[in-house]
Amino acid sequence: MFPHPCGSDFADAVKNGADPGTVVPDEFTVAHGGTTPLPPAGAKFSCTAGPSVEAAAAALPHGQLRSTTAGAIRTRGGTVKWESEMSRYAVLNQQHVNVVEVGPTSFSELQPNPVPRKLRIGGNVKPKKGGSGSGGRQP
Amino acid sequence: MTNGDRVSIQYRDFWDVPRIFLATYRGQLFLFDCPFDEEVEDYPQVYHVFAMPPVAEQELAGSWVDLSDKALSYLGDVPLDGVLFDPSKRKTIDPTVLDELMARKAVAG
Repeated sequence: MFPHPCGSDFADAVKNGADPGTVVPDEFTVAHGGTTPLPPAGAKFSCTAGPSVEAAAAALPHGQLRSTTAGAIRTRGGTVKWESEMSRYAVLNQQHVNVVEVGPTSFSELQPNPVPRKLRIGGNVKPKKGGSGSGGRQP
Repeated sequence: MTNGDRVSIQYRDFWDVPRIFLATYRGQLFLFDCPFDEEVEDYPQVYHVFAMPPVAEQELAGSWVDLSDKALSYLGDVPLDGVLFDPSKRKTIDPTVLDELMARKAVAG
């Protein structure tokens, strides 16, 4: 269930001087949500981090994801940099990380998000009337 | 607000790119909105773009979910890759897309 306490741990550590580029432990799961192809090597993209697939998966709203570990990304020369982000609901996601891969990806194939939608970020927000989901007056 | 030849943005909901952001250009406030689709559980690949009235900073401190409800008009859809962000993807955009939207609005009357 979102949020996992690791997010506030990351935030506290960085506030106290930890490097955002190393604060996520190598053994932590890193998850990228969405069905679009992963960006090419060298491009920065959004992921979430947590001590398990479930913990990382709960911090993204998507129904499908790809996962790896922070260590696998770093071993290949890539980077995992913590950077919290605010959702449109004004909910702070402290498990958000920016990832850059180098060379072949270490991410898995697409897999269903193991966390039910209502337990993911934004899952407890009532959809807007007349919309397909979470917000925005539809044109 | 402009930043050199680029336009500063305020954003929320960052996932690869800002999924909702505001930009003021030539006196007009624009809202670019790419709301998460709860039916397919993924983000769409387009922004819905709206002309907005001024929005108070105090209002922007809370949820942005209902921002588009305050729009003056809907200007059209723009593909995500039609917006050229700065390298951080969090600070500025190239104004070309805004020029195109204003031209589209002028033609539509």
